[in-house]
Amino acid sequence: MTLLGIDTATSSAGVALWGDDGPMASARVVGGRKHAEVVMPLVQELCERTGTAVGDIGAVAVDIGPGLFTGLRVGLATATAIGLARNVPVVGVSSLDVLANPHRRRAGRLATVVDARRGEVYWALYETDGRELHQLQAPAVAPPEAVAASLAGSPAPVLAVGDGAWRYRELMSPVAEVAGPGEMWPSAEVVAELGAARLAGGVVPDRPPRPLYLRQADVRIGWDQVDGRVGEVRAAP
Amino acid sequence: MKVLAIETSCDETAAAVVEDARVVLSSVVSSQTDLHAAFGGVVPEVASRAHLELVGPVVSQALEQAGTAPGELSAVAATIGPGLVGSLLVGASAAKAYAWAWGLPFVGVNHMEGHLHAAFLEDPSLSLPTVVLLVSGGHTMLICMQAGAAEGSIEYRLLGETIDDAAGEAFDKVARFLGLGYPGGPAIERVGSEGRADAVAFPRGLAGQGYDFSFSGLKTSVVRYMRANPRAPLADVAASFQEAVVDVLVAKARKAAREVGAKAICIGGGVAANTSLRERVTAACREDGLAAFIPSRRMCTDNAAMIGATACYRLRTDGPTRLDAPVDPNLRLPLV
Ligand SMILES: [Zn+2]
Repeated sequence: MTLLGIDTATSSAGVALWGDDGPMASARVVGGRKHAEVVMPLVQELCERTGTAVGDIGAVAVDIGPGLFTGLRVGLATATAIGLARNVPVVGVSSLDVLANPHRRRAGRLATVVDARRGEVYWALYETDGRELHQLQAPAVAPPEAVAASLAGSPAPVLAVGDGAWRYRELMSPVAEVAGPGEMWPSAEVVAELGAARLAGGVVPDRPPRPLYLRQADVRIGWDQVDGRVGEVRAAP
Repeated sequence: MKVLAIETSCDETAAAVVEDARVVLSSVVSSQTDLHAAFGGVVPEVASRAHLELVGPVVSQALEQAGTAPGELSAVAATIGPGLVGSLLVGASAAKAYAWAWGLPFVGVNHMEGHLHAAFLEDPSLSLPTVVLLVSGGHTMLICMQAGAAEGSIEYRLLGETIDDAAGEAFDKVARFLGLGYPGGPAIERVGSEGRADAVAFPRGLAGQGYDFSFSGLKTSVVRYMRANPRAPLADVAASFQEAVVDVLVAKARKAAREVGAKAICIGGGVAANTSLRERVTAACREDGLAAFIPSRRMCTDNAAMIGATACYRLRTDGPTRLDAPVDPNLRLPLV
């Protein structure tokens, strides 16, 4: 079975194909907020490159965040539609788990930190025993200063990973080793790998995954948002 | 040819199956009005979140109601603008994915063109040229729909548009000022039905000056009038305000129809659900010997059937849209 992994949680948009024997192919576009313009063409390209037919896709895994709301929704709308269209399961995995996973064999502590804009970050804390990850702190949103402060008391050396860690590396570096920009994006291949593991472990999602927003919706009314095109008058009942 | 269409440009999550641009096999609209009512207007982030939850179920329901299997479809369409960018992205992303997963072409549709095609869905006898009054929360346009040079093609000529607020926006803002709630159109219509439309002589913006519209002065007059007459009956104010809007809309549409030699006047957009506007356009057409195309209320407000009908037309004239096509919150109508 081939699994399609989709990640659009940050400024990076990536897709990957994962087969019975592991990774098949992956591709990513970094920068800008053009997720909706690149995701399906990337999927098409990977399928062509690997000779994968639409009907070969037996499951979809998607990054549910936390991350950029608009990006998340593009990934989830895409994954959910493919799942419904092909009648295959769709599993969601967290961006913070995805960032942590490649470092699971490194003993110590791991902070995954995604840029939340507006001067805040999404983050989670893990401990690794050299084989597996154990989450010490669930995903949360906080100012980077607060994250640095709570890492300062860590009993074990900390590795900070993610675009949030990199952006605020001056704050983070006194309390953690900061992973370089080459490792700061969630990988669609890891999304696929984690999704495949979850399905292999017997997880059967009964409804589409939902985004992990971690923030309430900003409720300013969009009078000036788009050309005033809001609040259309509706039919009387 | 059957097309599945998705519409998520504002605060309605809608999907429809349309056959040959004329037959609506299903049209499902899930309105978020209640979600936004508490805020007195559409909240973009709230709308985007709701679209994501609703788009899958709405599509499944549209296919089920149409009794259409994916294998019978010829294309999947979605609105790609104008609208709220976050909302547009949900529908367009879903449509692209459905199209790819079923091996079908994707068609990106202009929401305003959808409104222009809505009347055809209910009245195939519609003949060109027709003057269309497109009035919604974001747009107030007077357009001449005419036959193009190529066989079966249609051209749009913009005759006039609002220079400030859209008509629906004026309804919403005045309703909010009068404390009548949201959405403003139905609220003003309801309250105004008990009042006298000639009670207050509110100004008719840009009356007699070409085809452009202006509603911000009218809104200001209502505010000024209420400050000077705090005890004025709200029913009279609502009725008089509505009368001022409808007067200008009808007068300009009528003049345009006469000057371009149109065979009909058609209305579309959310404000076209307003009873007074519907009655006045019908009466004006009767007097002027024109056909009146007054689509049902559910075809005036946002829906996906009109997007599907437009997609059938666009697929024929322009072919499919590429999967890397962007959404455009400010997408303009292709005009001649
Ligand atoms: Zn509309």
